Amino acid sequence: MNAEVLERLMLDDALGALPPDTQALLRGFLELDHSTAGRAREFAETVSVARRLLTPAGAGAERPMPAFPARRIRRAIWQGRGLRVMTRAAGAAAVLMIGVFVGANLWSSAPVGSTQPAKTAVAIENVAKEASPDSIWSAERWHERSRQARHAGGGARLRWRSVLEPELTDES
Amino acid sequence: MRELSLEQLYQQHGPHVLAYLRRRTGDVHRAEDLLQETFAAAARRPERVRRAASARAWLFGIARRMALSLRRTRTWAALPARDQAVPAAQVDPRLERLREAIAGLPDSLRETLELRLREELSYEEIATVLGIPVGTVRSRLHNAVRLLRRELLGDGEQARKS
Repeated sequence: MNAEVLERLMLDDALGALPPDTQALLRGFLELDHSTAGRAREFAETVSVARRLLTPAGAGAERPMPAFPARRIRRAIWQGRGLRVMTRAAGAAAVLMIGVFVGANLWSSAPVGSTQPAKTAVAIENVAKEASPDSIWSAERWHERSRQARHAGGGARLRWRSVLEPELTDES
Repeated sequence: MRELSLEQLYQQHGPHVLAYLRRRTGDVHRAEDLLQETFAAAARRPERVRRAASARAWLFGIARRMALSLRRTRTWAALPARDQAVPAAQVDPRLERLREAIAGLPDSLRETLELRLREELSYEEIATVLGIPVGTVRSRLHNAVRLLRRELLGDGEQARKS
């Protein structure tokens, strides 16, 4: 038998925690192995002496048992019920608060018809602001040229052949 | 749980829990107060007692936590004092050696050993009281007995000298 396993069994036996069947098997084995049986006796003696030290005769018999504290127990039962009710109420309130919070967030972030065009308009305005007046696609530049042409000859007109192709034409 | 069944638990396990609390606190009146508080805690949470595999272990667990909260201010009577009426010469030297050895055990080992030998709780019940796995209870008990055996045989002294 494995020495470690055997020692654990001997210790459990000394501590009185071995099931009867296992105990009978161990005792049978120890009858055949005298050196191991000596160690088992040492463990048993150690536990026996320790038990004597820890539980001296007459310990705990010095005072009678106090009566069952019925009033205190009744109060504790009511306290326990009150605590349970409060815990459930607090839980329900917390769930309600979370529901309201989540619902409000969902409501405010939902796409509503009026918000989207406003955002788009802002984006277009920003693009127009970002475009430099000197760039070739600048609308201001073409309006300026058109104005200058009108002042110069009077007959010039800005025509858009396509979105990307503005053209100054002379109407005169 | 109805009050009646709690009263039955009180009659059945109360004396053991009270004796345990007396030893832990070293104060009879404090122990009685803690005993009442232990059963009041059981009354506040009856579902816990009902679910517990061992009501005795559950009650010991509460009692232990309550005694621990007092430990800072109170002395912990780990071992019964030696009977002063017995002359020192008549005292078994092995007992004295083992008494010192038990007192010198680490708290975790000594407490586990006391719960087993003094309170006679099973490994599973000790695990519930201490909130540790049964395997840990077993190894703690084995280590404690190995250390005590070494002291009893005088090996411990030799080991300390060497």
